[in-house]
Amino acid sequence: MSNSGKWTEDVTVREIPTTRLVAMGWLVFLLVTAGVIAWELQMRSIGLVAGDLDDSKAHWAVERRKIAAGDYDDVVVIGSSRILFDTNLDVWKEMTGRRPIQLALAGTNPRPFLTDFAANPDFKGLLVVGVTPDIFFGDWLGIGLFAGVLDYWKDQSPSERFGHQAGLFLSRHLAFLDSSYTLTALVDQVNLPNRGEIVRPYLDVWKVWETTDDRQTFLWRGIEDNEHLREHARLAWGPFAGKPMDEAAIARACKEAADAVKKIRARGGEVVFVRSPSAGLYYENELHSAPRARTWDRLLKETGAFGINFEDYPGMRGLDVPEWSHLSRESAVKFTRAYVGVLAQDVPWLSSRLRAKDGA
Amino acid sequence: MLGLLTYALVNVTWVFFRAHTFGDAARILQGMFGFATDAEPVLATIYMIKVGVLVASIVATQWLMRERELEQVVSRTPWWLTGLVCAAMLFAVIVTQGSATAFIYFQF
Repeated sequence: MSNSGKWTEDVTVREIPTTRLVAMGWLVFLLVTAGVIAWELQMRSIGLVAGDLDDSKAHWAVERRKIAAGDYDDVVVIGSSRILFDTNLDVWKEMTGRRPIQLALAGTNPRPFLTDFAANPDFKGLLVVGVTPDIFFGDWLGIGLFAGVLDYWKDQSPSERFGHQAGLFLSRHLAFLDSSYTLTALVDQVNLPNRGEIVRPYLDVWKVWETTDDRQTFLWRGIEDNEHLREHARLAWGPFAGKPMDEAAIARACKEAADAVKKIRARGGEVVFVRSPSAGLYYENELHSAPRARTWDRLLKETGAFGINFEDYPGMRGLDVPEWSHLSRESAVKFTRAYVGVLAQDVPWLSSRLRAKDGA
Repeated sequence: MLGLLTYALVNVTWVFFRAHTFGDAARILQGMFGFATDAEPVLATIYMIKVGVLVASIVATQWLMRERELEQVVSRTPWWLTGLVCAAMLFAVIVTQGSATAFIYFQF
């Protein structure tokens, strides 16, 4: 056995430990396999499913590249999580023959994306913009998870693309692969008393979405089925302080949107705004912080664009909003059917193309 | 003791490495030495526990291994115990995951 701790020792030569390496290897293999199987079963029991691909910049980039390649039906959805969870792409296809490219991002302000499409001379399609008032009319750009995605999709390296595809393959078979249920995320979910006014990370948003191919996203079934998770999700959207949004920020939002709408319309495209349902304390907070007259009505007036606000349509009210911000899977189908029906009737860009298709 | 002193001094110098300005560095150092009496707490208890456990484990491991080599320790430990520890570490790596985009973590 060599001596240790001496600088003159040749540390490039390491002795193989005298132990039963083969037996150890088998033991590690069996224990890890058993552990992973047990973990997988535990994760499935709380509502994670294989085939939930988890959202990411890479997942978004795949969809964005379809637009660059011209491989889409000229309808794009942008927005925050509400329009993302509340839009059913199959219903769109069934009703219009067009399957939108879903580019909405959870916890992200869609205005940079609206501006990006306005600056894209090749985009002449229909842009459906989901408006979540406390995000759209503010200056906050969004959560770090999707930061920089507008450049990422162009700069994504070959290794990142391959890594994403490899991750997708595993996610189709393993339920536990979910960024909200990693070991570190689970440790952060332990509720311990904190100093002062600290509420995070316990009141961070936990898993709320379930994503499949084409970024078809739904409110996670765990929120619908588990009362504790649903209550936690409601609290995570807080605090519901009702502080009025900054008037200057609202003005900036409306001006940016108006400039973008003008550019897109000038080359034959169209932009519509959709305000998805919210409920409970979240909705009440929005009535105080971003009242309709100062935000939504102003947006439509300054852009001249068509808008669908769930408050105005009986078929869009009274839907199931389990955690106050996103529709249940079943209600998302109903909401999509309702708002696409309105778009198909009242938005000339879409109605004329549907008539042409029916007449063909 | 010298080891702990080195660790403490490195913690102080990290501040200058990461702070954007000397003013920021001064504020952080004030907080570190307990002079920021008006500051509001920002670190959650779970974060302090995680960091405390990890740092204590790393420092303790470094201390225990200061006059040993890993091969010596493995040779003297029952194979099943070493296997158990390796399995626990590998299992922790798997369930800690990483993002799908960082599945293969290297950049071309």
